[in-house]
This record gives sequence, C-alpha cells and structure tokens, in this order.
Amino acid sequence: MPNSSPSNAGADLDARVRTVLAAVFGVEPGRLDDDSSPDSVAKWDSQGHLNLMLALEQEFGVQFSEEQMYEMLSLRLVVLTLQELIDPAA
Amino acid sequence: MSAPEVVRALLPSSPQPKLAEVLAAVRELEQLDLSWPHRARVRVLRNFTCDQLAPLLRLEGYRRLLHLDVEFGDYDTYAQEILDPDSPTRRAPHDLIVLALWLDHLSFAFDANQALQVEAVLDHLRAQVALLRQHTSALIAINTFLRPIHSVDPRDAATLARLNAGVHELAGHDGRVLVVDFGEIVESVGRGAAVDARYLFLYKSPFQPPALQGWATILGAALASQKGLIKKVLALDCDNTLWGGVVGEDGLEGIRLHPHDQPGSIYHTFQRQLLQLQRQGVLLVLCTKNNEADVLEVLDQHPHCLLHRTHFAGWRINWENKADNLAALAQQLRIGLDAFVFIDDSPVECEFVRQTLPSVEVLAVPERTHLLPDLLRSYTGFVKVATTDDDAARTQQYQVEHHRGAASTQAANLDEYLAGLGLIAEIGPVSAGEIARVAQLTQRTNQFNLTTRRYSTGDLEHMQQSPDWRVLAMKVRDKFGDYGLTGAAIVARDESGPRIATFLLSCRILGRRLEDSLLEETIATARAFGNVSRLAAEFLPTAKNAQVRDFFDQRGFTLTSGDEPHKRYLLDLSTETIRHAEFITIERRG
Repeated sequence: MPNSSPSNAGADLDARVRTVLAAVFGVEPGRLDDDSSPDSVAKWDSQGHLNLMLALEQEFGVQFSEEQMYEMLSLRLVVLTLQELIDPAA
Repeated sequence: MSAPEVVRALLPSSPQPKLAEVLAAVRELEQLDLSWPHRARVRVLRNFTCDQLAPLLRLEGYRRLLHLDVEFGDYDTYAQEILDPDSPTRRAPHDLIVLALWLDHLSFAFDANQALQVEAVLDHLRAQVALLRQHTSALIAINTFLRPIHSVDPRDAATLARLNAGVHELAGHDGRVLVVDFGEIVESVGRGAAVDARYLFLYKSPFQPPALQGWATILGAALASQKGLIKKVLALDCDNTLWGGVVGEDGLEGIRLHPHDQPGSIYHTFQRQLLQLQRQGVLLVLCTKNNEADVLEVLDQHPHCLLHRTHFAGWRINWENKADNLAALAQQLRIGLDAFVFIDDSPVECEFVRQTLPSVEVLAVPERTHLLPDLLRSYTGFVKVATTDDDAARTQQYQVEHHRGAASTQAANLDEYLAGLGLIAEIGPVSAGEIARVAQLTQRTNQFNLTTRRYSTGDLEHMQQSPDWRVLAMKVRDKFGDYGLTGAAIVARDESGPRIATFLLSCRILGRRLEDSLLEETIATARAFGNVSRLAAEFLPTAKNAQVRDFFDQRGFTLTSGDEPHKRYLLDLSTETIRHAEFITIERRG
C-alpha cells in the first residue's frame, strides 16, 4: 500500500486480519474485536490456531518465529505481531 | 441458477486459492441445500497432523459437484484403528481410506545408528494395507516417503529410493491401492514451499498448504475417477498446438516440430505426452480449422511428427465452427461432451467453445509456449485409479468401428449386417484379472446402464467372495476385431430372492442386440441360486440413461412399483422367454 498513510495502512491490516480470522474460524468479521481469543472464539483450539498461523503466513507473506506462534493468542496480538514483521520501524 | 452454477459461483476464482479462501468457500458450500449428484466418504488415518487436508480435499470434490465427508482418525492411532473391527474405519463403508504416514514419526524405521530400515517399514506398511484390503472395500491411498529431517548421510538418498520403490511395488496393479508420491509433490511446489521444519517440530504438521493442495488434487482426482467423473476424450487443435506454425502457410517443411529445435522441441514434447495419454486409454481426436489434406500429410509424412492417423479415434478437419465439430465427434464416438477436453491456442476458439458447450473442459495453450508441457502434467481430469489392458487398445477399437461402419452400407438390412459381423459373446463369472476392468465399466458407463451404481475394485472383490452375489463379465469379438470386456451384470440375492443390481453395456457395443445375450446369461445365473421362481430388476434414471428406460418392460418384466422415476420389476421365471439374437454365438465360461 505505498500510497496509503500509516494510519490507513494500520486500519487496512486490521481489516485483513479480521477477514482471515473470520474465514479460519467461521465467524462474522463484525463479531470479532481486539480481545477475540481462544477463550471467546469456539473454533480457536489448537488445530484452529495451526490453521490460523498457516493462513496468516500465506496471506501476509511472512514467517513467524516459534515464540510469536505461541504468543499470538488474541486478535490484538496478531495485529501487533504482523505490524512488527511487516514494518519494523513503525 | 442451476445447481452447478450456484456451486461454481462460490468456488474460489484462483486455481491455487489461499487456505483462508478455501476454508471460507467450503463453509459456504457445505451450507448449500442441494441434493448433491455425487457423494463420497473419506477417512484419513495418519501419524502426523494434516487436518488441513480436509477443506482442500472437500473443495476438490465441490469443483466436481462431489460432496465429500472427510473424517480423521486420532493422531497416530492408525494401527489400532485398522486392527479393531469396531473402529470407524472398519464399521462404516468408505470410498477412500488415506493411510498417511510420515517416515520421521515411525519409531521402528531407524536403528540405533539412525540408519533407515527399509524392510521394517515395508513389512509394516504391507501389513496395514493387507488388513485394509481384507476388511474394507475402499480405495486405499498410501504415500511414498521424504528424506527424514535427521538424515545427514548422502547415501540415505539411495536407501530412500529403495524404500519408495518398495512402496510402489506393494501397492500392486489391481486398482485397490493408490500411491501418492510425496516426492513428486515436493518437487513440483519446491522444498521450501512444501515442508516447514517449524510446523513439523511445533505441531507435527510438516506440510505447508501448497503441498497439501497437491496431495488433495491427486486424491480428488482418484475419487472423481471412482465416481465415474472422468474425462475420456482429448480434442486437439493443430497449428500452434500440435506443432509450431501454420501448415497451410508454412508447408510440411516449414512447421516447427524438430526435437532439437526451438520451439519445435516444445511441440515434440507435447506430442510425447499425448502418446502417453493415448496409451492410458484417452481417446485423441482432432478438431481443427485446416485443409484436411495438409494435416494428414503431416501425420503421414512429417519425419518428427510422433502422432499418426492410427493414434486418433476420429477427426473433424474443416472450416466449420468447432462447437459443431465437437458435437459431431461426440456423436460419432457415442461419448458425452462432458467427457471431452479441448485444447487450442486461439483465445477466440477457446472462449467460443466455453460459451457454446459449457460441459466441455477447455484448456488454452499457454502464451509462453515453454509452459505447454505443464498443461497436461498438472491436469488431473484423465486420472484413472487403475489402467487395464483394454485402455491401451481403446483407440484401435474405435477405429475398427469405422471399418464396420463401411460394411453396414453394403448390407440390405440391420439384421443382415449384424449377422455379417460374426459376433461372439463370451460370458461368465468375472475372473480375478477382470475385476479392475469391470469396476472401471461401472465407473464409466452412463448410457446403457440400468442402475448406474459405481463400484470399486474392492467392492467387486467382496462380491466375488460372497455367496449372495454373482458378477458376470461379457467379452465381445467379431470378425473385424476384439471389443474387449464390454458388458457386465451383477445379481444380488437376499431373503426376497435374486435381483439384478447392475446391468450395463459399454457404448462401444450398442446396437448389436448383445444386451439380450447378457440378459439371458444373467437370468441363468439367477436361476443357479436354486429354488428361484422370480427375478427382481430395477431401473434408476439418470441424466444419461434414458435409452434403457423401457428395457425391462420390453422384455416381459412386470412393473411392480410405479413410484416414478425409479422403476421396479419382477420377472416370472416359469414363463420367461428371453432369447438372444440368433446371429450371436455365446461362449459360456466357468
């Protein structure tokens, strides 16, 4: 997104993450919020988490470290982790 | 919108969709309230995490209007499940059982020095496959192995090759066992994109989505083949498809087909692929806008043209539109257009055929010509679970048909013509060597098929061993040639008596009154159960078998249940008078 301002890029990232989570866990994107986690999303079990990791890496063209894979246990943490990987300076 | 259109609208547009798209699409598709024309059950037994295979495989099914139930055994419990008669694997019938083994996770596969124990692995796999063969009727999919992650000894490559050769060998050739070559999948998507050590260590889930997709594609094609959803005919354009250049302008000498020349070598390679497909039983036909004499001159005389007239089951070489020509070829071969694949380099022709004949699958020659060989390598519509001897001879049989056609113009009437053929029908209980072919007939025959029940090799093996089933095979020949095994009937017996469960003739032998020969023997088989006074039969309508709707009515069977469209009949064996046509000689076997 070379033409979008940083805040737009952030909103865009957030929306893309929600789309992936919604697709992987079979929920409406509107029903997800920053605190959505394995506790609140029924299909976010260990197999669901594996699917999420694979889908996010594919969608954003990134590779998570093992620590990141363990830690990304809410929508907010997923977005923060991706921001670090995509634009470490931000 | 029709059901196929509803489904197509929900399929991801990309041929290689991302996992998130696949999951979303499958979720929408499974909520559709459709009566799916085809259904199949799959169980995956595994010693590694590969649950993401399910949505990918289900999508492969949906692409073919095939609804799949895919269930997994628990992690690394495959051996118990295969041994336990009450396990889901053995209790319920499945169309496909995937035994997915990852070499690194097999503890007995390595000795104390971490050297690979080829025989131990093969013995283990052989035992699992033998049990699955014996106790299920499913197609069994196993896999070859990748080099273990701990392997640092370069010589392991040779040991691994021996192991994988053994895997192919233990599968046999009868169509019961399909070997998925993991090495081929990894090679085609690239090691880095296929296997990821992070996921192997963390989740015991070594395969990345592209490799799982490759695996799902192969399994999907095998299931489609079992369900009779297979392509049979490949229709080809000529200029810039079979050779480089335009023969009408460049002439015989000017077209590009030299194996050591660019771009001739690309077309030469493509022709080698077509020859392989033809050997596997795919019928090649030409559908091309050229002067017929120009094309035939290339086929007959070009020093580097590998394809000759004898390789083609038919052709339409003229300046008419290609949709009409494809329809004419379908009629000539008596094969539905939905079993046709069409390849052309012209985007206009491709689009025209797509629009006019939506049931024909159209493959465009890639603009970057060097990608042409990838077109057929990655295409799975022709995949067959087992190849039989009949497959290699199929084109020749269709050609002999042309000569028979010429004879028909000389005979005064149909019976005289048929009598002149010298037809011989050899009918008897199916032999072990014929089971794969009979399974294939049940999977492929659509028109002259009273019940269109699809059976796997495993199903038929079970029937052959059961006291309550009889499977009859019919081989046909005449003075012009051999049609091969082209008819089958299955009689099942239960407490109410015998019943014709399957009755079918290949479209190659229609119009020769051979159906009465097979029916007469089928009735004799039913009588042989002993103490039988009535024979039940049924007609199950499909989109393609209208020509046999009244088959039993016309032969003295009494319609007993009018719950149309499903028709049930009884034949009173004390008054039955079915006689085969006099001009057919019946040879009884067994």
